[in-house]
Parts: sequence; C-alpha cells; structure tokens
Amino acid sequence: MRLAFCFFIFLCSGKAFSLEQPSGQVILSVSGDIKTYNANNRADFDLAMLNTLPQVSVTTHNPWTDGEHTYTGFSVMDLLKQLKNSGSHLKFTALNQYQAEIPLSDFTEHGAIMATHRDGLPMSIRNLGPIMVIYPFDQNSDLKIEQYYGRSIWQIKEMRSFSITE
Amino acid sequence: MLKKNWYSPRPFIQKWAAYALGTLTIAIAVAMLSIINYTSNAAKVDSQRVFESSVWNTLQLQIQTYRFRHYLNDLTTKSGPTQGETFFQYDLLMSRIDLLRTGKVGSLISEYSGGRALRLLNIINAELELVSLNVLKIEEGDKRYLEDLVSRLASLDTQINEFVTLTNQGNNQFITDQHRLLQKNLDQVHNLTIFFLISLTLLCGFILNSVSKVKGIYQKNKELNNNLLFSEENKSHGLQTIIKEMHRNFDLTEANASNYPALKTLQTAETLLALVQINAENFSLTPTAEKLSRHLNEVIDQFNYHFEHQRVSLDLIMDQALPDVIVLDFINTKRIISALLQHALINNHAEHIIIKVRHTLSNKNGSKVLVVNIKDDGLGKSNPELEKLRISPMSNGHADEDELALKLSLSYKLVSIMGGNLQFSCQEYNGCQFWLELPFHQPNKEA
Repeated sequence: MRLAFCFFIFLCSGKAFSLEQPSGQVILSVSGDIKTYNANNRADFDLAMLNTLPQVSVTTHNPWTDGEHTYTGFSVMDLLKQLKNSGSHLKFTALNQYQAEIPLSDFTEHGAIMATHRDGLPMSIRNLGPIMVIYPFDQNSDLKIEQYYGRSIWQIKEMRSFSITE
Repeated sequence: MLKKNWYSPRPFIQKWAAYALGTLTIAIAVAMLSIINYTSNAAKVDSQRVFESSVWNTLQLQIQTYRFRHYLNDLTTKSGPTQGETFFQYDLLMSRIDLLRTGKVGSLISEYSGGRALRLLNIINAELELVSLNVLKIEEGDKRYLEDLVSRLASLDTQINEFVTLTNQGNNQFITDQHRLLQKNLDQVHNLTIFFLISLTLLCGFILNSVSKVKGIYQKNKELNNNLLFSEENKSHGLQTIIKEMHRNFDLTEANASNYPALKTLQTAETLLALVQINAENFSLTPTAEKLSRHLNEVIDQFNYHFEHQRVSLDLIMDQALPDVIVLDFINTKRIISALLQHALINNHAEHIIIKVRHTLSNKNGSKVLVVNIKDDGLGKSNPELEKLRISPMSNGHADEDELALKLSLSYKLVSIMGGNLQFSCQEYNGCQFWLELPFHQPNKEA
C-alpha cells in the first residue's frame, strides 16, 4: 500500500515523464522550464528523433547564402509540447558559443522554424547546421531587420526554456 | 457708367490661372513621387545594415582559428582517434570562411580595399583547405601531422590579422558612404518637402480665391433669383387685376359669338397667370372628389361654338370600369384637356375627334392613373414641326398659334406638377394623338 502511494506521488510530482534515449549523436540538448527528460535535467535529441516530429518548411532568401533555399525541419512548439514546456522564451547556444534569446511568439506568430535540412539535405556544420532558426523573410518583409537577423541563429547545440516575469 | 464686378470674367487671366493650377498640380505630384522614391531608397540603404555583420564574421573567423589551435594543442597530450571531434572543429572554422565568401556579406567584402580583402580570404581558405589532409590523419590518430598543422595555422595569423584590419576599414568606409548617401537623400527629401509645401500653399491660395469667386457668383445668382421672383409676383398681380376687370365688364359665363374675343383674352390671361405663379413657386393644386364625366362634358361644352361652325364631330368614350367619382385637381385637368382640344380644333383643323378615357395602374408604384387619349384626323404635323413642339412648345412664330403654344407649355408644366405624363405623336395630314396620364385616387367610402 505504501509503495503504491509513493508511486502515485512520484507520478504527480511531474518530474518523471520519460523520453526515449537518443541512439545516434546528440545534436540538440533542451533544458530549463520543461518536465520531460531523458538525461540529467535535460532532454537530448539526435537527428532521427527530431525527424519524427511533424515537418515544416520555409522557402526564402537570407543574407548568409546565395539564392533561394527551402529549409525543412520541425516547429519548436511541437518539440516543447512533447517536453511539457512552461517557459515563454528560449535561449539558444551555438557551437561557437554564440547565444540568442527568442520569444516563443516568433515561432507562433512570425512562422520561424528549426531547420535541419536545406533543399532536402541534412545541414552540415559548414552549411550552418545541424540546426538553424530560419524566418520566412521573403513572405514577411517586416522580418528583414537586425532584430530577426540576429535571432536567426545557426549551428545550434543547446536550447534552454525560461520565463520572463514582469 | 457701368461698374465692373470684381468677379467678372477676365479670359486671359483665367487661362493663365488654369495653366498655373495645372502646373502646380503636376509639381505637387512630382514632389510627392520624388519624396516616396527617396524615402524608399533610404529604406533600402537602411536594410543594407546587414552588411555590417561582415566585421562580426571576420572576428568570429579569428576567434575560431585560435580555438582550433587551442584544441590542436590540447590534442598533443592525448592519443588515439578523436571520434570526429577534429573534423567538427575544422568544419566550425571552415563555416566562417564560407560565410565570409557567400551571400551579401561575401559580395560586400569582395569590394573592400580594391579586392585585397577577397584575395587575402582566398589565400586563407586555400591554406585551410590544404591542411584538411592533416586533419584527416589526426582524426585517424596519427599525431605526426599535428605539429605541422599547428605551425601552418600559426603562419596564417598575419594574413588573418590583415584581413580583419582590411574588413574593418572597408566596413567603416562602407558605413560612411551609406551615411553620406542617406544624408544626401534626406537633404533631397528636405528640399522636396519645402517645394511641396510652397506648391501646396499656392494651391490653397488658388482654391481660396476660387471659393470666394463661387461665393460671389452664388450671391449674384441669389439676387437674380429674388429679382426674378419679385418680377413674377408683379406680373401675377397685374394679371390678376386684368382678369378681375374682365369678369366685371364682360359676361363670360357662356361662350358665344359676342363674347368670344373677350373669353379668348381671359383664357390667355389665366394661362399666363398660371405660368407666372408656377415660375414664382406660388402655384398649388386643389384636388377635389367630383364626378369626372361632368367635368369632361364641361370642357367639351366650351368648344360647342367650334363644333357647330367647323362641323366637327366628337366621340367621348369612357371606360365603364372607371370610378364615377375620383379625387383630382379638376380645374387644372380641364385646362390641359382644353389645350389639347384647342390644338385639335384650331391648329389641326380636325373634322372628327375621339376622346377615350380609362384608368390603369402605374408601373412605378401601382397607384391609379387616369388615361385620356385624344385623337384627331386633322392636318397633323411634319417631323420638323413635331420635333420643335417636343423641344419648345412656345417657340411658334404665328400670333394665333402663340396662344395655343402658351397653353401647351402650361399643360406640360401642370402635368409635371401633378406627377403625370403627356406624350403625343403626329403624322402629316393624318392627325395627332395625345396621351395624358394623371395619377388619381378614389375618395374614402366613409367620406
């Protein structure tokens, strides 16, 4: 009886939601205001795990590459829903330690996506991969400002969810 | 001496004023388009600020080179394959080279220092591509290539430092040029705005001048209308006096040979009075509920003299379905029918006249409409005469016809006031036919 009660408390604590373990190389680690983990207070993902999320695309020009490209990847909202996120902002860290803070509204209102593929091919490090935040610049000219160029972070390796209290 | 009104037309001034107005409008349009164009250019220049990231990426290249060297230095103490870590660090470095060579940043850097920055970048890129073989060997765990790789990276320091310096200088020059361009555009916008405001002020002056002219014309028009109404009222009083005098001096209750000229004059005076009252907006209708047949017979009786002397026969056909008593302004209806009969008898010299009376429903609002059709077999009218009658019934030239024309003119106005319609058609030597339509209603049964 006591064991069953402890198990119930364990489930209700919200700290024990499980996530499958990555089988390949970890390319993204998520931490912060999330309730689902598969590592020490964080959720690690390999490319295969990220590819199982609903795929979304953005076709656009951008200042860092020549010509128009189709970027395919996942919506950060789908990923955060899976991780039971309660944060309102995300802090991304790139492989070169560059950091950018992005409000979730950029993904819900401005159509930004987390791209893992460019023109159908996985994005290598030299192609600004493995993950890049890309905005639909061609579809919304309001996004063509420094604020959103600065948030278009590439070579992402970490993502931390947090809330800003006013 | 006639005093010339200040707003009286001066054709040559008005012509030049119109030209000036047109020129001002074109000038304002050009100024507006130019301002839009310059502000649009300013927006483009502003968007080019993205190129400022060339310095950022250049510094990132320098940092990444140091990081790579630092990583390689750390490797000297380790042994065995590096599990892809060396390639990973190498790719991070090379990705900075790629960023500096492609996109808008690449285009901008290619213009710095007359191409010197681009040549340096190509040298750095070529050297880093060449060391990829060393990276492969180190990745496989062969550390013999490590020293050579670190040494070659150290030798790139000079080129990378110069590249950073050139990029910074080029970028500063670029920003300065952009600021100059922006300032130039702002100056142009400033000048155009002043020109625009001057043009707008002149245009406002023209508009105010035109408004005051229109006000003057409106005032003059009002005065003329008042004078006209005053004149019409005077005419009305004069005619009423004449009519009263005629009634006092002549027995005009029945038409006969002795009083025919007086009766004719009285009718003309009454017609003129009605026209004057209509023009003076002092005319009102007086609808009454009475028997239609009685009034029709009264109109016909007025022309007994003509029927007898001209041997004219007349048929009055009334639709049995027509209500016996209807509400209508009978006085003015009789005036209209009288004028139409007079036209058939005197103007057309008809021998036989048919009057058909019926009623129908209006297509517009479904109200009841009295239809009086008067057809004669007289002289009729040629097409030019017919057209003249349609356009202006008063423009006849003969004195005998003037009275009739006056009555027809009044008939048209009365029909219009009564909300009806009057149409006609004529054929030369084959008579005329009139269709008179007047709205009416039936009296309430209780009344």
